[in-house]
Amino acid sequence: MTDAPGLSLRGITKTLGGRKIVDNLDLDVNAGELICLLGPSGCGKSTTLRMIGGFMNPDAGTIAVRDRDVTALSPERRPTGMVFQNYALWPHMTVFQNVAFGLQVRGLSKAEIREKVETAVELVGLSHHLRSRPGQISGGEQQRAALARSIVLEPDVLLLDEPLSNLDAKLRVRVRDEIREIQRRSGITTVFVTHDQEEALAIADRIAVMNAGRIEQYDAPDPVYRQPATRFVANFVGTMNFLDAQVTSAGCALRDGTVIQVPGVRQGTRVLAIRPEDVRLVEHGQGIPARVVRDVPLGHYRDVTVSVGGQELHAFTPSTARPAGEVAVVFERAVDFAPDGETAHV
Amino acid sequence: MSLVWKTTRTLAALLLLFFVVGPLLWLGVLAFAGDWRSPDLLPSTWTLQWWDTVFSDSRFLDSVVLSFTTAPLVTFISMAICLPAAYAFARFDFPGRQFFLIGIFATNAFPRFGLFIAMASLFYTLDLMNSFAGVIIVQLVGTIVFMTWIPAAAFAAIPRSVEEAARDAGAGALRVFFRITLPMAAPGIIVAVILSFLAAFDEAQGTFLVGNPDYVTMPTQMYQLIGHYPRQVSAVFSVLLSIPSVVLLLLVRKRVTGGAVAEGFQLR
Repeated sequence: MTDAPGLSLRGITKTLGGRKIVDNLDLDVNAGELICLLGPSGCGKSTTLRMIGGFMNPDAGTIAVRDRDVTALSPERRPTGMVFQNYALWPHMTVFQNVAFGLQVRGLSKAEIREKVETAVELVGLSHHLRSRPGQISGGEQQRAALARSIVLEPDVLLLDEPLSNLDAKLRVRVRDEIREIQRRSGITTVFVTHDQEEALAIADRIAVMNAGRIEQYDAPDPVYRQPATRFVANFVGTMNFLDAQVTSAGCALRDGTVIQVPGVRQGTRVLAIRPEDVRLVEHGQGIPARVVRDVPLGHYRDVTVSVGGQELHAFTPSTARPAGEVAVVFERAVDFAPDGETAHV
Repeated sequence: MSLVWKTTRTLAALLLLFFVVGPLLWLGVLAFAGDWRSPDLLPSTWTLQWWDTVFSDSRFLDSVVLSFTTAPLVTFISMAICLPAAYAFARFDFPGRQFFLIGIFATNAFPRFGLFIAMASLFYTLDLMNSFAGVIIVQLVGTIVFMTWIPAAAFAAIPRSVEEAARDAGAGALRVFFRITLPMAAPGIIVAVILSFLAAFDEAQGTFLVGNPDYVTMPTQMYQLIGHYPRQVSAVFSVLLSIPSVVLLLLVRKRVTGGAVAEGFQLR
């Protein structure tokens, strides 16, 4: 693997309709790495992707692929390949013709085209549909045809714009894993845009969590989940409990005055962020007093809502347990934030 | 319920057949009729003399040649002018877009003869009266609304992302248009071409006003025939006039019934 970064964005800014969609964004992607741009709709992730692909020009900043500045290049001249959310296959062409189109544009010989198309189509497992038109194959197959169409051109950077959002839940997981496998095998630097945090956690080497045109945290899935850098990230990725607390040297005073001990929390008015799986239910008297409010069995686990210190918390417990009435909780770990949402402390 | 529905449907089909095919059939018979008096269902004698009349008279033949020259030419010019406009209407937001779109439609919302009179006075000063170019321009007027509105809708129905995907694959703007956009809009464009051709082919009012006396097309010849010849000659002409419609429909039948055109309009 080369040392040159696969992709780097510097100071990218885009204003649309008077609103700053992307705000002075920096992003580095290592060669061969798969990163996710994760965020709610309108956070600027798709706009960022379209700027990398050349479909939109940034108002400021530069985009470099393998240390080569591509900011001024039009989409057809960029070493990027895009898979669109609606697949954007050409309905009047067969799968073969769709995949072959870019190779024809590059003026390859018929034999070369056939060989490359067959390799790419085999990679995505669509060999039996070479002669089918997009309208005759399923959504998942269309998705893979679109993927084959992009990777056959061997782009330096592969761009995926919410490629799984039109698939049903089961298929989404399968195609997600397939994409990951194909990306690993081909070693293409990949930027994957999604609003689905589970998808991002499952597929990415690193996740860039975006909010209001900025990256709030850029890290591997585990740290993003375990050590969210901002309250936004803590809230957006996974399920999170937030507890208001007044922290003094005596401990954390909750809303109703209950004082609990949570190690490593900074003093002052703080918000404690605790994952539901870090809330352990124990016998009454063995921890912070709590009362079971709701108990929802979800198959693999139970989502138990408990009232602690005047606030409700979610606790994920094994589905075999049957908590009820007066219990107690123990917090395994917590992250604390200032009430305005900035700066985390683990 | 289903029997009533079936009966109603059959009746409706028969009624449609009677009103559409009936007159055509009558025309077809009339074109070969020698002596035909009411209340006879069929002529008592048959003849080819009316066809002979038409084909031996150079004026008639000239009009046939002229019609089959102007209508394709007008359709072609209309495509060259209107298809780029249609693409612009569908893809770009420019000042006056709405104004022009409605304007093109509005010229067809009023009786066209007023427009022709206005055009005629303009044509006099430009020396376009009784000229081939004048006939072409006047026939063009009736095709513009078809050749703009229908392809514009067809272009607008094409997602931008399919064009973007082609650029992403390395194709320049022209190649994207001819390899992706145009084929995808083809069903709508075919419909527009058929309607435009027939509109140009059937145009009589303006052509009569502008082309008379030297440029006489088949429909304008019809007007003159009706007064001066037996009605059988008009019947022969009517049959000749309907040939392009039949041929065009047969040509695109597969595409229409195959769903490509209907799909283009999302009628399926």
